Amino acid sequence: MLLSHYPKEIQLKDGTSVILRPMTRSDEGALLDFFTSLTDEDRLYTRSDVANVRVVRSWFDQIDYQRVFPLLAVSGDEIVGDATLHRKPYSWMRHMGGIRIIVAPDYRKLGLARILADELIENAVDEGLERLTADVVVDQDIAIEVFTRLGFRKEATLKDYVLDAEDVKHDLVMMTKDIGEQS
Amino acid sequence: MLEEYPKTISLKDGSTVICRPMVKKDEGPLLEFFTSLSKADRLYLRDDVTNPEVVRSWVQDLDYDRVLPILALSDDRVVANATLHRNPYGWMRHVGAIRMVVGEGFREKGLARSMAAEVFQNAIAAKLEKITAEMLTDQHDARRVFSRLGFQEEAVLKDHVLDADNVPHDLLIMTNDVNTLWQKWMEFSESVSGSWNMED
Repeated sequence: MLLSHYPKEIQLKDGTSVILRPMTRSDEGALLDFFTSLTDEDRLYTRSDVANVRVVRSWFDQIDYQRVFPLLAVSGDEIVGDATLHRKPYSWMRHMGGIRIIVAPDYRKLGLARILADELIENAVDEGLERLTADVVVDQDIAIEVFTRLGFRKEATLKDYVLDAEDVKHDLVMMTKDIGEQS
Repeated sequence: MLEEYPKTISLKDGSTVICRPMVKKDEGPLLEFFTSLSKADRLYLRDDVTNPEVVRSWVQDLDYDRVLPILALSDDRVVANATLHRNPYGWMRHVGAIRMVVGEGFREKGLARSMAAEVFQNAIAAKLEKITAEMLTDQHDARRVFSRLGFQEEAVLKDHVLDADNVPHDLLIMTNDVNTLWQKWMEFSESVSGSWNMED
């Protein structure tokens, strides 16, 4: 991973600046605060149950950037964005990376999701990955739009793959983007 | 469900194997099982099972709610491994994935079906609603087996898999509703022998 690139200061559309840096063990409290700051509507569609303290804590037990590279956007002591690159190094998907991004409500529409995605893509290319995937719920129009603008396209729709926080089923859209040398 | 193990499974040729969930002391025998597979078998495995670190991490981080590995043993040797993968605190908490590897000397004896039955029963006990199985589009035997169990082809993901020789392949995702699966098993079981020891 391009660890020497961080910390990195970036400017958002409204002129605010935030710091990007990889997550470390000492971020546990701040990350829990970040997830609690999300609205119920946001949490409805998160892949993991981020309201569950044990789930979030478990991520800190085994930080291994080769498996999950979590890049945080930080303003002061506060986490305002969390973007992760997920890999399975010793598997038949070793050439693939999965991307997940969550931005705090107050920091949306400022281009932060796009900046975080670009950072992850740069890291993925540097690691020699060939393809990225992003999984979104079929109704998440904004997420689909963001990933489409980043060059992702819909690869498959998996019926009833997602059970939201209120136990309602939704289709999962798997989006992919080739980043290999040939693409 | 787990208190039912160990169980004895009768194979078509009259021999028997023991099946039970994997425990920590199985690390050595499991690694031996994987290294005994032919290169052709290993070409299309999801994980690099010849890497001792990979196998060690499975055994050291045992958590049956996430991965339930069921082994078949003959004379203390592992001869098959079937796993049920779940993500209990995620948006796919209603979905389980099945994976299975059967050793060379134990194929075409109905063992794969019996091991699949163990995984499915555990999926039902865990109140899962959907089971997925992922394979390469070229793995025709696996496709046939899962189709016969009522699995539907849900999606094909282009070049999603790199085999052990770094050749890209398309990945096929097959899925089945647990309720449908159960009915198919009952029909199949009644039509064949009326017992859980499936024989093709």
